[in-house]
Amino acid sequence: MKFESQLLKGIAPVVVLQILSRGEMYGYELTKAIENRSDDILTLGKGTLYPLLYNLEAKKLITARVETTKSGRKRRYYSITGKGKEFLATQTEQLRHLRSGLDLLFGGALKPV
Amino acid sequence: MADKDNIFENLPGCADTYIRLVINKMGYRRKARLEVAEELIDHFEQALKDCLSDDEKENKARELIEHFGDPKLLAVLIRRAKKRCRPLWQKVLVRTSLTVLVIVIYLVICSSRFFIGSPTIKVNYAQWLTDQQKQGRDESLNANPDIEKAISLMSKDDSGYYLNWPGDMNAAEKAAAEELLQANAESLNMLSKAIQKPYCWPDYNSDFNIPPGFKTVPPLSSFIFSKRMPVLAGYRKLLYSMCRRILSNAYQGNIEQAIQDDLTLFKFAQSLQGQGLLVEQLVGNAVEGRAHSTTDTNGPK
Repeated sequence: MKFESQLLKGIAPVVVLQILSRGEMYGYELTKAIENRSDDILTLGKGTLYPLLYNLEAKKLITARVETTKSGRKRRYYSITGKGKEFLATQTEQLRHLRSGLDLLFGGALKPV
Repeated sequence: MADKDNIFENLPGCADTYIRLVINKMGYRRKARLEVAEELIDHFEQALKDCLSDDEKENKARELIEHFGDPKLLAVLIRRAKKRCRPLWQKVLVRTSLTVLVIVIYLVICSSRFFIGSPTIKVNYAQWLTDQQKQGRDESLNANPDIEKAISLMSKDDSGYYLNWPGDMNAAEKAAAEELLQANAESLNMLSKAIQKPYCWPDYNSDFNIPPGFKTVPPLSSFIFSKRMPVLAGYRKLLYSMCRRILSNAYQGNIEQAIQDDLTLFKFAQSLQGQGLLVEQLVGNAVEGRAHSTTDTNGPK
């Protein structure tokens, strides 16, 4: 099932930060992790991922570290910063509220079957 | 460029083309472009590493390119994001440089008309100065044309001679003084007649003609020196000649005529102390001072 892009746009930074909060990752690894951990429900467009990572880096919510792989390729590993963790906590709390509100609105119809 | 080409070597042609297109469209710093290219190549390599054949790699790469979407849009988004990553000092430097550049361009545009355009004189200050003094009065009330005529009628300049009391002169000096008075009599009579008129204003505008094709407005100082100074020199000649006549008449006992000429000088001085140029007003003061001194010094004699 594909999500509306606008619906996903708002939570994409939170999703990335949530995944990075468990450890540093590089771009491809991150997309795979998002798909695996959301049981393929959430898939971040590849064209969205890298601009999003650079934006989060500019906001200092994540930081990048370059490491040379065995094949000699330079790879950027992203990890969450302290500011990123604070932001994630706030956003998570808001999502929780949103979910409660939606549950009430839909009378429990949104709960997993 | 060799390094840049090497990093593409393990990729299928379509992925190679796609990434090159993205980084070319990005149009940002070379270092940043290379970083992005390496990251995208790594992504493709990771995604294609399990593919066994070239065909499979090609198909998988095409699928991935579809997921990445429009290369132009991706390039724009990455460029914007990378720009945001710049440190604060760089942002300040770029903004300041841009502001300075805009100001410089604006100033160049504004000042270009001084170099390529021709000046348009919007305010004729010479006319304004004339109007200030004339105040709409009829030209028949103006003493200035007659004063200028009196200057032109002066046949001998006697301003170089000392103004001595005739009683203190020897016979030769007396004869020379008499000769000067005779020569300039018509001019002095014209001055006496001119000064009967109640007002005096020069027509600055007629003197202040800007030659056709003149690129810049001549400064007022050059106008004063080229046009008005000779006139002021003429005033000086009239003054000296009139003083000589006052002394001569007083010496000969024609006191009434001497007083009339002295009054003429006072009126002449007052006519210059109006609203004209400052230098003209100063000349007016000097004429008045000379009229006073001629009377004060020689009156008792």
